[in-house]
Formats: sequence, structure tokens, C-alpha cells
Amino acid sequence: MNSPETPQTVHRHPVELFFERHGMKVWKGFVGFFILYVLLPPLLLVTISFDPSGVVRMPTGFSLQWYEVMINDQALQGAIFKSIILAFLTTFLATFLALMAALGFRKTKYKTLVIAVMILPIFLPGIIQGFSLSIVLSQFFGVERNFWTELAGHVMWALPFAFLVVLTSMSAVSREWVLAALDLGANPWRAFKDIEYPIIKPGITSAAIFSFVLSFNEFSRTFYLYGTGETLPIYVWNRIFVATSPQTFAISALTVILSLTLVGLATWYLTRVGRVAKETLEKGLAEQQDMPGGSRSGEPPAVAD
Amino acid sequence: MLPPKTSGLFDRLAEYFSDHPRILLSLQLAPAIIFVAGVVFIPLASVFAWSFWEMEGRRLVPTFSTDAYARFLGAGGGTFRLEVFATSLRIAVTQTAIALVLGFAIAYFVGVKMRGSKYVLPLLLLFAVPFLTSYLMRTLSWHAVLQRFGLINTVLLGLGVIEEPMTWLLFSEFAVHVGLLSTYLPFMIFPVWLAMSRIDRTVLSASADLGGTPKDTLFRIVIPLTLPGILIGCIFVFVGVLGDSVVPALLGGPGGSSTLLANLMDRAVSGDDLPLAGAMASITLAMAIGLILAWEFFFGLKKIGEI
Repeated sequence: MNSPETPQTVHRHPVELFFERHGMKVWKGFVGFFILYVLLPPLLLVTISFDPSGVVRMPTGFSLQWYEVMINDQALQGAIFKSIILAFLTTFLATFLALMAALGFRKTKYKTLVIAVMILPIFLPGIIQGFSLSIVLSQFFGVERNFWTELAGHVMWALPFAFLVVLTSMSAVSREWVLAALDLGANPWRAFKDIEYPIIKPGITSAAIFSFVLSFNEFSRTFYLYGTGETLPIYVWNRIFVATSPQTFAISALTVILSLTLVGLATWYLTRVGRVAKETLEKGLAEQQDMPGGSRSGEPPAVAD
Repeated sequence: MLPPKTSGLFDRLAEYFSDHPRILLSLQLAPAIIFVAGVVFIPLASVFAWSFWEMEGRRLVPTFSTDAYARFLGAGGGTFRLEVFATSLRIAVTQTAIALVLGFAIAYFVGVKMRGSKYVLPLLLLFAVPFLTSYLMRTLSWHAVLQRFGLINTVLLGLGVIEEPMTWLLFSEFAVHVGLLSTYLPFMIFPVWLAMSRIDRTVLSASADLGGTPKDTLFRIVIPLTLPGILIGCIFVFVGVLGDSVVPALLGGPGGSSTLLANLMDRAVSGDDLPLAGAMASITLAMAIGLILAWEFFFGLKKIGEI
């Protein structure tokens, strides 16, 4: 990158020179364009929701009328309510299952198997997962789609991501600390509660937030698994091809804003994992030094940031 | 130091578990494993079975019939399903290539050029945003950009670059690629970036010190070391596109881009032609599993755990 200038390289192609001089600007422009590219559609939704025309096009005015329609739409209220209930249940179940699995993952011999089972669903198309479960239940068990099949669909979608987030945050916990606690007579519950939990707590929180957001926006599995009553994405889908129901833009815009806020929050928590681990360790060492007769033996374990 | 006094249900349970660690381990792993196996893997495995069954009214009846596969290949009514399959494969391969080139470049910028900067995480997060917003509405909002009086046409007409609005932007294969890219680009960026961020900085500077040009470093150091991430990203995008029914339905148009494999599956399910849906799902799953096994063969699944 910073190769030494030699006299032989004076006569270079103008393109090469241009990149030497403006390379970083080109890079920034390129990456900036694609940030805009992926952010543009969600942001446009917000502007469309304030447009009086109520169709998907470049906004020309400002009006809150669709928000008013939205507030008075009974079906929409039902869908919002159902989506929130499902998202809360999914948050709880997916985070709990992910935490338990991640705790077990550290100890099991069958790491490859556990990883494979937990992560592979991300790689397989959601619609196939959705209709295969729906068909198996209805054809072989006589179970028609209901609230619980829907919940299963949401948890299966959120679980791999929650697992990955918790697992990542656990890498900040050194296995030796837990073993030391156990050696000093702590039972597994105390070792978890006093050693691991404080460090991975931000990770658990962000796994919970991710689960909530993923569930709230889940569509392809829910489409085949929902029972009575629409969720929000299903409500939107059922009206997307109908000419006028601009209140969907209002609710979608709100969803976008809510999702973005939550994602920002989750990231903030996630960045705290390393810091909390460091603080906990430093505090522990400081207390140890303050104790009369207490001396540090050996170097403190390195903290993974 | 004496152990702290134990009290409460959790402590008493924990006393029991510290004597029986294997039971604790199974209780931790079993719920998630059983859940995923029950709702994901068993239903998916059953797809392969009932793709060979037949419908009797609205019920699947066990038998061995390759009728669904024959119909997929064109028996008794044209080869349109095969054509849809070919179009889907073409679009999936094209999209994977587009996402790879752009995603790799972005990951390279974030993972190598911006190594160590405090902006890395916020930057990556910006790319994760679409993934966490409503997929339907995000896709639909491309209409506002691409349509006759949308953003692009309005701007270009205003600048005088074009005199007539371009009508091929929306409801076309172009629109499908635009929509797919905004959904699947992050799926390429993240694994590639993860693999890239694990390349030791000293390896990169060693290459430069030994006289390697940036191009040498890229092709002989960065790309080989990033290969596992690249392939994961490609599997994500390729399989994702084959399983996507929303983008073609909302953005596709003439020339076959409005009906892809996932739309055919959806139609077969809603038309109660379950063996046909099963046959198409089996083919898609077989390709996905084949790609994942190839990855496992070359790199080993354990690598994911190291990330």
C-alpha cells in the first residue's frame, strides 16, 4: 500500500496515478453509495407514509391522514397486537433456548453437531421450512395451523441468530474463570449467576432485541403457519396487491423506525460485552489487592475484547 | 474461603447438578436441539419422502411415484416448470456473482482498509439495517425508485439526460436484481468480512514488505484466506434467491422474472399439489445441502464455531 517511490515508476498510467491520489475517496464513495442503496428503500417508506397520494411514488406533499386511517383500522390494530404478543413470546423462548444451548455448547464434545443443528436453518429457504412444517402437522398429525404453529415458525427463525449473538458474547468469558469459581466451591448456578451472567448480560439483551425485531418482521414462514388473525407482515401482504390501503405505509414506516431504534439499542448493548468483561476483571483484581494479605499470583488472564 | 451459604431452589438444583454434570449438559442442549430437529429438520426430511407420494383428494397417500418429478420435468403439459427452474438458476447465479463482487469489495474496505477504526461496527450495522426491517415493504418501496415517475426517472428527466421515462426499470429482471441485491448484499458482506477480519495484520504488511503489490496481496493472501467466508456468502445468496418468492412477485415482469421457483412452490402448496411442491423443494434442498457439504468437505463446519 505504501510502497516506496522509485524513479522507475514515474511514468505511470494516469488511471493508476488517479487512484494513488484519490483512492480513498473512490472507496468511500463506493461504500457510501451502497449504504445509501440498502438504506434507501426503508427510508423512502417513511417519506411515502407522509404523502397524501397514498400510492408508492415519489412523495409530493405532507399529510398525516394515513396515520389517522391507521389508528382507526380495526384489522390493523388486531395485527399489531398479535405481532407484539408473538414477538414477546419469541423473544423469551428464543433467547432462553439460545442461552441454554450456548452454555451447553462450551462443554459438549459434539460441537460440530450442535453448531450444525443450530445454524443450518439459516441456510435453508424460509418458505420451504414454513410449508414443510405446516404440511407435516396437518397431514400426519391432523393439527391445523394455529397460534402455536405460528410461534414455532417465529422461534425457528430467531433462534439461530440469538444463538450466534449469545455465543459471541460468551467468547469474552474465559473458561478458566468459571472453573476457578467451581473449584472454590461455587455450584454451577452460582458460577453462572456471579461470573458468566454479568459479563454476557449485554449479549443476552441484544439477542433478545434481535429476536424481537426478527419475529416482528417475519413473513415467509408465518405465511404458511398462521392460524386465525393476521400478523403485521401478513396484513401488509394481504393488501399489497389491493389498490388502496395506504395505511400500510404508515404502519410500515413506524415499523422501520421502531426496528432501527431497537437495532441501534442492541448494538450498543453488544459493544458493552467486552467492556463489562474488562471492568469485572479489573474490579476483581483491585479488590484482591485491597484485601489484607491478599496477593496476586501470576498474571491476570487476557480479556478478549 | 468457605463456599457461600446455599439457599433457594436454584442453589439446591445446582447442588444436584454439580454431582451430575452430564444431566445438566443434556438439559441445556436438549430443548434447543429437540425444538430445531422437530420443527425444521424432521419436516424438511419428510419433504424428500412425500415428494414421491400421491394426493388422494386433499390427503397425501404413501406410495412410490415419480410422477411429481416427471411433471416437473415436463411430462403431460409443457416444460414451463423446467424453464422457470432454468430462469431461477440463471438469476440466482447472476445475483450471486453481483453480490460477490460488490460484497467482497465492501468487506475489503471495512475489513482491511478500515481495520481497527471505531467506525467498523457502525458501518457494518448500517448494512444490517434492511435485514431487520419489514422485507415486504422494503421490496415494495423499490417501486418508488424504479417506476415511471419514480426517483430515477424524475431525476434523469429533470437533468435532461433522458427525454422519455424509462419503463424497463420496474417489472423487469433488472428490478428483480436491484431488489434482490438490497436484500442479499449483507448476507455476502458479513461472512466475507468475518473471514477477512481474522487475517492477521502482520501477514498483510509482510506481503507488502516482501515486495508484493496490493494486487499480489489481494490475490495471493486475502482471497485465499477469505475463501471460506466467500463460499458461505455465495451459499447464502444462491439458496436465498432460489427460496425468494416476494421479490419476483413484486418487482418481476415479462421474460419470466415474475415467476421463479419459489413462486411455483407456493402455487403448488396453495393448489394442494403437495408432491409437486415437495419435488421442487427437494431439488432446492438437495442443491443447498450439496453446497453446504462441499463447504464442510473443504473447510470443516467447526470453523463457524471459531468465529
